[in-house]
Amino acid sequence: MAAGSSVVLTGANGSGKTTLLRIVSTLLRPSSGTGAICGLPLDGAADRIRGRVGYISSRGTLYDDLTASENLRFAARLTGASTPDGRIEDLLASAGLSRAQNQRVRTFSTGMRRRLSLTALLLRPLELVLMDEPYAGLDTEGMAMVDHMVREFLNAGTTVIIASHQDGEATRQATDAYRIEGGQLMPVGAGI
Amino acid sequence: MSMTGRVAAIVWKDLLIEVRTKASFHSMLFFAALVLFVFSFAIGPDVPLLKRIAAGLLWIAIIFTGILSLSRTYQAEEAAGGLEGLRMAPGDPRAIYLGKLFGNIALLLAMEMILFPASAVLFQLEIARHALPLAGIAILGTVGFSVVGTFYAALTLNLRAREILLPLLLIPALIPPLLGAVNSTQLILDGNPLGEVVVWVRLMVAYDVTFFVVCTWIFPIAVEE
Repeated sequence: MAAGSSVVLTGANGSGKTTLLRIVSTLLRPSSGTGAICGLPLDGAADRIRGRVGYISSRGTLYDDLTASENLRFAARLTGASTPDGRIEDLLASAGLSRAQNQRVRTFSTGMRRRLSLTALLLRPLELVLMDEPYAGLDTEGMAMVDHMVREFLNAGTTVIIASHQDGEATRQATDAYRIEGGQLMPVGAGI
Repeated sequence: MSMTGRVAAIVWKDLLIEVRTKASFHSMLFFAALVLFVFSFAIGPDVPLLKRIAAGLLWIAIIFTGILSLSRTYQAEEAAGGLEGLRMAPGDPRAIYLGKLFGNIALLLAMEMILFPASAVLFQLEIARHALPLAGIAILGTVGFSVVGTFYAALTLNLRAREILLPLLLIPALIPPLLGAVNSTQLILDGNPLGEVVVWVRLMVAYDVTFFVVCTWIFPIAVEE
């Protein structure tokens, strides 16, 4: 998979898209086989891989009783991302969440939650971003926001892998597309 | 990011959520008060008997309340999509365990600051006179309970019957610190010389150190999928 490319993964429910993303992110240990992520072996270099890879699940990882700003600050502290003065506010502004920065995430809509989850990935430089169903439950505006975020990652030279059922700009314009069927990964050309 | 920084971040996050929601604290407080009241009413106005068994009743209330709090330890993570977010952060995953552990210790000690004076009133104990040694025993007992409890709570996180399995696994493992805490508390309350408590303190220190090292060491294997 070329660095800086975007790849879309499709397949029926239960075909293994999420499992594959979780293996690539090092959250799940493969039962057999080998692999290399960002030039690092999956077996034995999980910690270094996590330093270069960001993963966003379909549920996202947000704490309902923290505000948007606190969620980002916590993510930054946990990952060691530097947050100079105004960085969090700038990121929230670029995600269109300025006015909601001091609101608890509990009050957010699905679209706002997704935007905040994606914004957390922008806190530190990443070589690979994995997105599991990023369009799920979003309206047209929300989907455009996801596409905008994906473009930002690609412009920064980050490789993006999207597992999605839905058709968005990012999946249409992906440089490679694969379908998982019967446990096999089959190339289906560019975009879906 | 240093290990200390990541541990501090998790403690800060957990305590901030607890201060905002008071989800664990209120239920712990209510449950502990209920346990103490039920025991004191069941035993009746027999003050000498109450004084003789007060340490045991107090630590039973602490252990039951602590189990209630442990089952909620990872609840915020579950609502936020499981431990994925914490596990995806680069660095040693042991920071997750240590962060949760220190959060649990802080919460349980805060609870004990209410529980000890409450039991002094209910069981007519002279706690103020022995405040310092009792505080030391409370810390040792709480650390021992939390070290093992936080580990088992992570271990049972993804199990369907975790509410049953957690106490089933935990209570037998807690017998040594429970014996130490009950006996040393009773000896102190009875006004015995502190020298008599040393053997129980040694047991608790040995337990706390051993299980802290073991649980911290094997935590990454326990949460690996």
